[in-house]
Amino acid sequence: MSLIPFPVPESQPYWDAAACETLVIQRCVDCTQCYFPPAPVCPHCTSRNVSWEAMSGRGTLYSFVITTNPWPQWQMTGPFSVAVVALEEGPRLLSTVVDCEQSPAELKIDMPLTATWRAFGDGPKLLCFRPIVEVGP
Amino acid sequence: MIRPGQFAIVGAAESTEIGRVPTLSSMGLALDGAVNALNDAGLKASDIDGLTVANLPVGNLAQQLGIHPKWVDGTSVGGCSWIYHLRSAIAAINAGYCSTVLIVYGESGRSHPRGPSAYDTVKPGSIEQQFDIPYAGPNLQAALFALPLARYMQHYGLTEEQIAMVPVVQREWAAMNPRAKLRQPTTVDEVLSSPLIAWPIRRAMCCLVSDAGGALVVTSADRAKDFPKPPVYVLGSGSSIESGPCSPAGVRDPLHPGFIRTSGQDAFRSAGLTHADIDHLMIYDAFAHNPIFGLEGLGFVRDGEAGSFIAEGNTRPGGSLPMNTNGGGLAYAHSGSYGMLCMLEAVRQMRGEASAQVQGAEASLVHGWGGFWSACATVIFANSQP
Repeated sequence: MSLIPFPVPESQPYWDAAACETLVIQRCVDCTQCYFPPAPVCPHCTSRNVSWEAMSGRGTLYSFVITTNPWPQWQMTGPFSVAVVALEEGPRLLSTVVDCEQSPAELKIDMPLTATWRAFGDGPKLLCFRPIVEVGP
Repeated sequence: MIRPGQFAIVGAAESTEIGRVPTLSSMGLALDGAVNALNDAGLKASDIDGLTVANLPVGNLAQQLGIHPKWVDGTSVGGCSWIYHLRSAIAAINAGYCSTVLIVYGESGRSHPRGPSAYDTVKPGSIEQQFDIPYAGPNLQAALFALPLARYMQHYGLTEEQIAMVPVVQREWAAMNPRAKLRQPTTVDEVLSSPLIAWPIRRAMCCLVSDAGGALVVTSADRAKDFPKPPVYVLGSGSSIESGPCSPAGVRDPLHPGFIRTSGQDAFRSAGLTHADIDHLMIYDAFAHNPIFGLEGLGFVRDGEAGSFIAEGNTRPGGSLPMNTNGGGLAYAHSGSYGMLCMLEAVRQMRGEASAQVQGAEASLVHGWGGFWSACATVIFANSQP
């Protein structure tokens, strides 16, 4: 099993944007909903009239585990989070939350997150998320 | 429509040995289980005209059994594939495609995990390979399967102590089963002091890693009384898929999972039974939280109540709803795909030949998962026709 993501024609725009540290996913022109993973057909209405769009990068932590062994490709040691992130635009995807302590005390369900990018072995930079630090009053 | 009890299991057996079987590959375990099931049914291989297997080439299995089936099914949707096969086999017999189907499973999950049974859902360029696997880490089974759990705990107040009660209770069943791997009692403290694998999942909340094979023979019930063992009737079944094989992120509402509800409701409706009719329950436990989600999705308890239902002892020996009575994947055996072993324990219970026999049990429900909680299937067995 190769760990380095292998693009296919339907996902190439995602990976081209990722190389520039930009998150793009698809929106259906007909029903206006965003969807993930990449596909030539909208899973909400089966329309082929779909287009790529840059996302805000903002989302929330839908759920997570903290796995004790990261892949060596992440160049991390110690526990790391495997996270389901709900994008502001709707879709949920798998990622990891970085730049915070990897503990149930720090990783809070529904905490606000924003996209960041991290090297993964010899492959492309991968989409990660970090907490949005609230600025106090 | 297929009527409740129109088809029956007339042969059922596990491989001669389970647990650690270094002398056999996945195919060898499959053949060993198949021959044991044929012997259990008093059939010759040439009596079989329908064949199913998952994660192994069905043609190679037919060749090695020396048979030429008219109908085959090699579908794999993960660990519950064999429950799907049972549904398809019944439909095929009902359609007249074949008359006697052998449903076969073999997996050298412990001794030869890189063998030809490789779980090949993760192909380069697949959705999982691009978007899930890079994040999952080496403990990917626990990490992916347990993804909905943290949100569930926060929403319903399920505690780590309640999750730990699942293996504690199942060890009580395993203690009565000489074939179970883990037969010693355990405690909540012991479970919660086992190493973390993927918080909140600890090692004692994870299934075993075993070698195992097994098989079932299914045919129409009007022939079923001609076989040496008492028939176990298939009353009803259901199945559903809600996401990709590695993407619990795609389940629409993990706190009220529609795919479990669909599968369970179809099983009860087709069987013509209600929850009160079920005397024995098998819910596939790859990880300790799986039976909690299953009890709720199938409607045995209300959403959010399964943790306390198990912790209060309802599923233990002598409880109101005996569950995972072989000890489960947590204490009996688990080779990577456990659905067949769930069905075989239910068949033993319906025949009255289980190690930890539930006295008077007349109807058993089996519910399995596939693809890290993205597919499921349900079947209801009984020891008499309705």
